[in-house]
Amino acid sequence: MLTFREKVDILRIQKEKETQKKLKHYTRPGFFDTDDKGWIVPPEDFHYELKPNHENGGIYGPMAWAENFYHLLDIHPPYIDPYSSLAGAYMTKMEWMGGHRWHPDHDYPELRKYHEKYNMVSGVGGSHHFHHDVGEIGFKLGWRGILDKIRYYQGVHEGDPDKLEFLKAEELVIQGIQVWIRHNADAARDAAAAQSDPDLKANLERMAAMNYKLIDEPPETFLEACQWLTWFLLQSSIFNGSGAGGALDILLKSYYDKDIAEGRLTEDEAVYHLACLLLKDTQYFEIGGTYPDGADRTNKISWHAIEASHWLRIPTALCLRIHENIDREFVRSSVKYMFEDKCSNPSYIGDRVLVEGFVKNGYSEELARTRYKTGCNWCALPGTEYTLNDTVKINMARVFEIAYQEMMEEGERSTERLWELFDKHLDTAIDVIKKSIDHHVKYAHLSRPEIALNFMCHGPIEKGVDISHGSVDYYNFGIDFCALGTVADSFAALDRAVNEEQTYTWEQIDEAIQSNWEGHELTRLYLKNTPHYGYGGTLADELAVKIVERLTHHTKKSPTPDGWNCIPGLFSWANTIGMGRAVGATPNGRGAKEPITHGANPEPGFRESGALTAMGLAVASVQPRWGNTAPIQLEIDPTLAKGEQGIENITNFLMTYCNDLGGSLVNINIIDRDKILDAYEHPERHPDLVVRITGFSVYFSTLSQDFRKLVVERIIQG
Amino acid sequence: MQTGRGNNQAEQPTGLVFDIQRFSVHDGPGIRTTVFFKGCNLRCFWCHNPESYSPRPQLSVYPDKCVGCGRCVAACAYGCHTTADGVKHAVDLTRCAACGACAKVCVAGSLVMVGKSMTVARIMKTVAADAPFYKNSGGGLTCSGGEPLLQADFVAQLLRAAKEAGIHTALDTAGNLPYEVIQQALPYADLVLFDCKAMDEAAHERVTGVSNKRILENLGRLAREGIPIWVRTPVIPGTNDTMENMREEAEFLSGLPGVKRLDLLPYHSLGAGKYRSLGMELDPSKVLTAPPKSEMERLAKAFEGADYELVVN
Repeated sequence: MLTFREKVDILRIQKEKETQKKLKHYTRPGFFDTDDKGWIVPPEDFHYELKPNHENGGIYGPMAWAENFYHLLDIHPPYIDPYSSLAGAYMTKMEWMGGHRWHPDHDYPELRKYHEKYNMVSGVGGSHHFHHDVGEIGFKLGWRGILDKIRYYQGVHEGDPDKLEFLKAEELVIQGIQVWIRHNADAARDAAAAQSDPDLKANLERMAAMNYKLIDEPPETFLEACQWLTWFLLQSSIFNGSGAGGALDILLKSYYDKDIAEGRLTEDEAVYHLACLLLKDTQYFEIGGTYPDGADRTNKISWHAIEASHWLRIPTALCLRIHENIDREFVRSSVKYMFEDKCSNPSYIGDRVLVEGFVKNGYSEELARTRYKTGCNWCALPGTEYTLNDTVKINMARVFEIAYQEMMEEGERSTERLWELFDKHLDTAIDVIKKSIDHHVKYAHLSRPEIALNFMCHGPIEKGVDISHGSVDYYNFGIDFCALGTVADSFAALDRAVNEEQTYTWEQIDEAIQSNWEGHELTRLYLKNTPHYGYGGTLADELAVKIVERLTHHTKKSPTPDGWNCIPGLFSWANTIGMGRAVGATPNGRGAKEPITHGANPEPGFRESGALTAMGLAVASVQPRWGNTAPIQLEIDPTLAKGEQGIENITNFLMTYCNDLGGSLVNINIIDRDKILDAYEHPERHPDLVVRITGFSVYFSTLSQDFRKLVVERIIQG
Repeated sequence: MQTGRGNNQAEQPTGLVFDIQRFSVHDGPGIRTTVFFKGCNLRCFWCHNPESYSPRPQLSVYPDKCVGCGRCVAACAYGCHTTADGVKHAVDLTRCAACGACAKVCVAGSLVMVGKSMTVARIMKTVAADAPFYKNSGGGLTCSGGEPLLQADFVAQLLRAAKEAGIHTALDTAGNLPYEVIQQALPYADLVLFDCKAMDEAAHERVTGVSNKRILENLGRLAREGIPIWVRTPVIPGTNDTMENMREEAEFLSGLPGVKRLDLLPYHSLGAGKYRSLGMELDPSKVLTAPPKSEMERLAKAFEGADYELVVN
C-alpha cells in the first residue's frame, strides 16, 4: 500500500506528463503565458460549440449563458484518478470558445477612443476577480440547499420577468453542476469496479459514495469539504476562468477539527487531501493572517497547506499573510520550503498596509481583516464585494509618451512642463477609467452575467440581480497603474541631461528618441545610466514617490460619476510585454516596443549588490496604501538562503518588509542563473522548472519565447 | 521638479569607501549594511577584493563594455587612453592619476572609479535607511575593507554615529596594526570580526606578505577586553588547509575568553575578474579550486569541543 506522500509523488509525475501533453495540444504562441491552470487535455472525441443567441455570434443574457453552460457540464468528460482522493478535473473553458462579446447596443466608442489613446485595459466587460463565500453559503447549504434558495427567490420575484429569468438561469447552472458531479460519481463507481488494487479500489469506492452524497448534501467531513470546494472552483473556472480560492485555513477548520477529534482523519491524510485539492487548479488561497479581532489565525491547516505544496512541488497559488502576531516559525518554515523546492511557493502579503489602507475607504478594521488575498495581486471580501480587480490597468509609459509628444509639439520644453502635462493626462486617463467602470456596472450583466459565482455571494440571489449590477454590499474598483520605473527613470534621465549636466538639448534627445536610438547609442547609454528608481536616494526614487502621490490623488479625489469607490494599486500582471509594445522609445534609454518595468519594481539590473534591501525600501516607499497592493517581485539566488542563517535572513526580510515598512505583497523566485540560462536555450531539458511571473507561477518550459526572455533578463539582471 | 541637490560637505572629514553592500548577510549577525574601506596592509594572494589594496582612488576598466566613443581620450589630461583602430581603446594605467575625468564621461560603464570620499553623514544616510531590516534580524553596520582601521579616526566616528542611532556595530579587521589603533574604534564596536589566516609565521608571511606575530598578539589582547569576537579563517588549499594548522589555531583560540564564534570560510575565486579590471596581474597558478564540503568538515574536526560556536560555510 502506498503512503500518502508516495501517492502525491505519482500525481506530480502525472501532472508533469499532462503539462507536456497540453503543450502539444495547444500550440498558439502565448497561450500558456498565464497561471498554470490545472485543466487537462480532453479526449479526442470531446467537442463542444457554444450556441449564440445573437446574429453577431455572441451570447447575451443569463439564460442563454446558463443553457450553454448546462449543456457543456452535461457532456463534460468525467475525470477520475485512483491516486487522488478527489474526483473531477476540467478540460475546457468557455473563454476559449468565444461567445463573450460586449453587447452591441451598449457600445462605448467615445471611451474606447481614450482607452486606445492611453493604452488602457478598461475593465469594461471584465469578469470574475472578486471573492465568493463558500464557507457561509456553499458549505452550509450544499447544492440542493442553494437550489432551494434560488427557487424560493423565484417565488419572491415572480412578478419581475428579468429577475425571474436571472434566477431561472442560476437554477439551471446548479442543475448542470449536479449533473456533472453525478457523471463523475458514476465514473468513480465504474473505476472502483474495475480496480484490482484493494487500496485504490477502496479510495474509488469512497470517492463514488462521497460524490453521490454531495450532489445534494452539504459536506460533513474534511475530505467532503475539499471535494465540494473542488466542484465549485472548477465550474467557475470553466465558466469564465475565476481563480479565487479563499482563506483555506478558515474554510476547512471546523471540518478538520471535528475529523481529527473523532479519529476520522490523520494529519498526513489531511496534507494529502490538501495536495489533491491544490493539484486540481491554481486557485488563489490565503493562509495565515488574522481573525477579525486581530488574533493570529494560523492553525494546523495553514501548516498542512505549506506541507502539501512542499509535497507537490508544482506551481500553486498559496499566499501567506504576514502580520505582527504571526507565528514566526510558520513563516520560517514556508521560507525553508520555498528554498528547498524552488517552486516560488508561497507568496507573502502584508496585513498591516492592506488593513490600514482599506480602513481609509471608510470600513472597519474587522471587515478589512477578512478581505482575503484570493487573486494574483488582489484581495476581496468574501461574497459581499465586487471589485473588477486586476482587470483595469493604465499604462503610464504611454501617458508619459503622450505628454512628451504634446510638450515637444507645443514648444515650451522643460521638465516642469512635461511633469504638468503628464499629470494632466494621468488625470484624464483616470477620469476615463472611472466613466468606463460606470459603463460596465450599467451594462455588463446584459452581456455575460456572473452566473457561476452569483449564487455564492450575498445579495444576487436575494435581489435577483447580477453582482456586476449592484446586488452586493460593497463596490470598490481596483485601478492598477503600470510602468512606474520606466516613467520615473525617464523623468530623472531628462532632468540630468537637460538641467543638471546640460549634456543634451531637448532637440538632440528627441531626435534620438524618434530614431529609436538608431545612430544615437551614446545618447541612449548616457540616459540609461542615470541613477534609477530603486537605487536609493536618487532623483528617480523621489519622482517615483511623487508619481504615486499623483495617481493616488487623482484616483481618490472623487468616486466614479455614478458614485463607485476606486482604489489605486501598482501592478502590470503579464502586460509588461504587451504594454511595452504600445510605446515608442522612452528617455530612460528603453527601446521602442521593449517591455515596460514590472509592477512596482525598478528596472532590472538597477544595482549590483544589496538589491534586496534597496528594492524593499524602494517598493515600500511607493505603496498607494488604500487597501490594494503594489507587489515587489524578487529574484533570489539560492545561495542567499544557504543554511539555517540564510533562511533566517529571508524570514527577517519578509517580516520587516511587511510589518515595519508596510509592504503589501512579495513574489519570490528562487532560481540559479546557470539553470535558468540552460532552460532558456533548452526548455525541454527542464520540464519541472517552476518560475514566478507575477502573482502566478508556471512551468518555465510552457512560456512563450517573449516571456522566457523577459523572465531570464529579469532574473539575470535583477 | 524639486531635485534637492547641492549639499556642500567639503568641510567634513571623509573616508575612502569602495563599496557599500546592503543586505549583507556574511559579515556579522542578521541583515547588515557593510561599508568597505579602501586600503589594506596585507597582500593575501587569494584576496577577492583587490580593489581594496590601494589607499587611493583607482580607475577600473571593463573593456567588454566599451563602445569606442573616444570621449575618454579627449577627457584625459595624462594620455592614458588611446584609440588604436577607432573602435576600441587601450588604457595605460601606469600613467593614470585617478582623476576620474574619463569615468565621468564614459556612458557605457566601461571606466569606473573605485573609491569614493564619503562623509559620516552621507554613509549614515544609507545605513540608517536600512535600519528597519536590522531590527528584526539583529543586524546592523559592519565596517570592513581592505583594512578599515587604516582609516581608524574616520571608522571610529562612523561606528560612533551608528551606535548613537541605536544601530548594532561590527568591525571587520585583519588586526595588523598597532594595538592602540585598534583601541580607537573599540568603544563604538559591539562585535569584532577578526581574521586568522595561518598559524605558522613563515607561512603567513609567504601568503599575506606580513608576519602574523602582531596579529596574533592583538587578537590575544583583544580577546581579554570583554568585546565579543568572531574569528574568521579562510581555508586556502595548499596554504592553511592542514589539520596541524587548524589544531594549532584551535589551541590558540581555546584560551581566549572573548572568542564567541569561528567561521571556516572556503576559498573562492570570484575576484579574478577584478584583477584584470584594475590592470593587475593574477598569477594563474594561484587560482585554486574551492575546497569541497567534505574537506571543510574534515578540518572543522580540529575545533570540536571548543566553547565557541563553530560555523562551517
